[in-house]
Amino acid sequence: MNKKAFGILAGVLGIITVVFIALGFMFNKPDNKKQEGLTELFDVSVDGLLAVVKYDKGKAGIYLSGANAEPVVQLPVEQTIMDISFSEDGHVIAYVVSDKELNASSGSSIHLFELRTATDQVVLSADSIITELAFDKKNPDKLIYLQADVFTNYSPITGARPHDFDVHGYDLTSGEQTRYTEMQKYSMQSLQVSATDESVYIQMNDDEDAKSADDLFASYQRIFKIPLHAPNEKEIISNPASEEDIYDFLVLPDRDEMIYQAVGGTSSSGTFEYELFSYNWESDETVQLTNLKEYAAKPVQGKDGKIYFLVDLKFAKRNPEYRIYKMDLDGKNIVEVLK
Amino acid sequence: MKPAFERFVTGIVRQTDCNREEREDLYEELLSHLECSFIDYKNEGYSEEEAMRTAMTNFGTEQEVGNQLQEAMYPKRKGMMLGLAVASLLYAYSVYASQLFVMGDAHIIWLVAAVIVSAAILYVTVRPVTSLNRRLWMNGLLLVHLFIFFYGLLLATDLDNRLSVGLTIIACLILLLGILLVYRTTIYDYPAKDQLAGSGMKWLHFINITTGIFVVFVSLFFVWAMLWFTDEFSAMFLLTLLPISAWAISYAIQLRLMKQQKPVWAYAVVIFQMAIILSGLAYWIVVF
Repeated sequence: MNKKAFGILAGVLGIITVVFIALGFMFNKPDNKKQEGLTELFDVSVDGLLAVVKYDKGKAGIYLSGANAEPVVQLPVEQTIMDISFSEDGHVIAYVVSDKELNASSGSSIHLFELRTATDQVVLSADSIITELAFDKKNPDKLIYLQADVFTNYSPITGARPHDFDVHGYDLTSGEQTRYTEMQKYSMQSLQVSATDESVYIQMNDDEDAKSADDLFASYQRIFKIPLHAPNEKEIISNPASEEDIYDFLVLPDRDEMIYQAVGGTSSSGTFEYELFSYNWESDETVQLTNLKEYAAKPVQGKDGKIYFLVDLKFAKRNPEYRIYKMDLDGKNIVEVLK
Repeated sequence: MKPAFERFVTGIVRQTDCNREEREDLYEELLSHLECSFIDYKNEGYSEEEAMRTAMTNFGTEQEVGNQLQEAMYPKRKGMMLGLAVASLLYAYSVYASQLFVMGDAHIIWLVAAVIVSAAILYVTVRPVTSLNRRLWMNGLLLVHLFIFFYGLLLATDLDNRLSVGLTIIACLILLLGILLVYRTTIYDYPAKDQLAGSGMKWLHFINITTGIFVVFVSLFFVWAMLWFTDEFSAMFLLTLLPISAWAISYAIQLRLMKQQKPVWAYAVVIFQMAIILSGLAYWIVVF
C-alpha cells in the first residue's frame, strides 16, 4: 500500500471515529437517567391496590395498579425512593425519599401521600439515611423506621455504605420521635411491625457472640423479634439451628409461621437461586413454597389472603427485570400480577 | 550503481518486516542480483537502457517481490498482523456502538485508543517502518493493544446477553491473536544479535511470556474483584502490581545474565520464578 492510499484509509478511519464520537456525545446517558422500569419496592393495600416504585428515564415514581399509567408521585432525577408502605386503611402511602448518590451528608425525608385528595406532605426530615419504614398496625398514627446513623466504609476495599442501624419511631399526631434501640447494627433489613404486640421483626446478622472475624464470618442472617420497650429481650424466631442465611421474610402471626427468602439452589452457571420457604416455629417445620429457580423475594400478604412476591428474572446481571407474582399460602397457584 | 536499481530495490525491501541489519543485507543481495542480470543482458547485445528495464521487468514488480520475500522470511506474519488490525477496528466500532445504543454509555477514550493502536498496527504492516521494526517496539505496540482490547473484552461482557456472547468470543479471538503475535515477535520473528542464539533463549522467552500472561491476568482479576466491592480507587489496588513488577524484574535479570554469557544462572532464576508461581498456585488450590 502506498503512502497516498494509506492516507486515504487513515482519513476514512478518522471520519468514522469522529462520527462515532459525535454520536457518543449525543446519545450518552448520565447514570442517574438510565434507570428504567420496576424496582423491588411495592406494597399491597387493604383494598388490593398494588403500589409499585418505577423509574421513568431515571425519575423515581409511585404507580398504582388499576390506575392510569401516570405516577401519583414522581421525584427529580437526583432523588430516589428508599421504601413505601400502605397505611392499614389503605388511604395513605408513606414513603422515604433520599439522594440517589448517597454520601456522609445525605439525609432522608418521610412523605405521606393521601390517595383520596392526591396531596403529598413531608412529615419528617432526618440528617441520617432512613432505609425502611412501616405503619404500626395497631396505631394508624405511628410510623416505625430503620435509620442508619453513619455512611462509611468499614473495610479498606469496600465503598461507603449506610451502617449503624437502629429502630426509630415517629408519632404523626404529636410529632414525637423515639429511638427504640441502641444496637448500632452493621445492617438491619426487612422491617415488619407486629400486628399484636409492641414489637418489630427484623432480619439481622446473628453475631451477638462473635468475638473474632472468624466468628463473624461463621454467623448467619436470622430473623429477630425485638420488643420495642425492652430491645435487650430480643429473640430469634427463624430456625435458630439452621445453617442457612435468611434474607426477606413475612411474619404470619395467626399461623405461628413466617415466609422467608433463602438460597434454594445454584444454577448451572453458578448463580444462587433464591426461593421462598415457610417456617412454623411451633412445629419447627420448613416447607419450600416456590421452585422458580430465579430470584424470589419480598413476600407481602394481601387482604385476599394471597402472598404477593417479587421475582427478578435477570438476577446477578447488570439490569434487573422485576415481575410481581402472587400465590396461595401453601405456594400453590402462582400467577403473574405485574410486569 | 544504477539509481533506478537502487530505487527499485528500496521499494522491494520496504515491503518486508526486516530490521535494519536484515534490510541492509537484503538490499545488497537484491542489488547484486540485478547487477548480474543487467550485465548478462548487456552481453547478449541489449542496449544499457533495455538491459536495465529487462532486468527489472523479469525480476517482478516491487509489490510482488516484496510480498514474496516477506512471506518467505516471516510466513503468514503479514496476514496475521493485517487480520489483527482489521478485526480490532471492526470490533472497536461494534462494541462502542453496542455500549452506546444499548447501555447508553459512550466509551469515547477507549474508542480513540483502540482505533489509534489498531491503525498503528495496520500502518506498520502495510508500510513497514525500519526504525520501528524492532522487537521492543513491535511488542510494545502489541502489549498496548492487548491492554486496550482486554478492556474491550470487559465492555463486551457488560452488554446484554444477546450481544455479549458473540462480541466476547470475538474479543477473546483478537486477544489470542495478539498474544500469538507477541510469542512470534519475541521468539521467532526478530532475533536480536546481542543475545545467545539457540533453543535455550527461545525457551526462556517462552516461559517468561507464558508466566507473564498468567501473572498479569491474575493481578487484573484481583483488581476487578476489588472494584466489584468498591466504587472508588484505593491505594490497596497498587499491591496487585507487585507480582507484575517482580515478574518484570526477574525477566530482565535473566536476559542480562544471558547477555553476560551466564546461561546457568539465568536458568536458575527462571526455575526459582516458576517455583514461586507454582507454590502460589498450589496454595490457592489447596486453600480454596
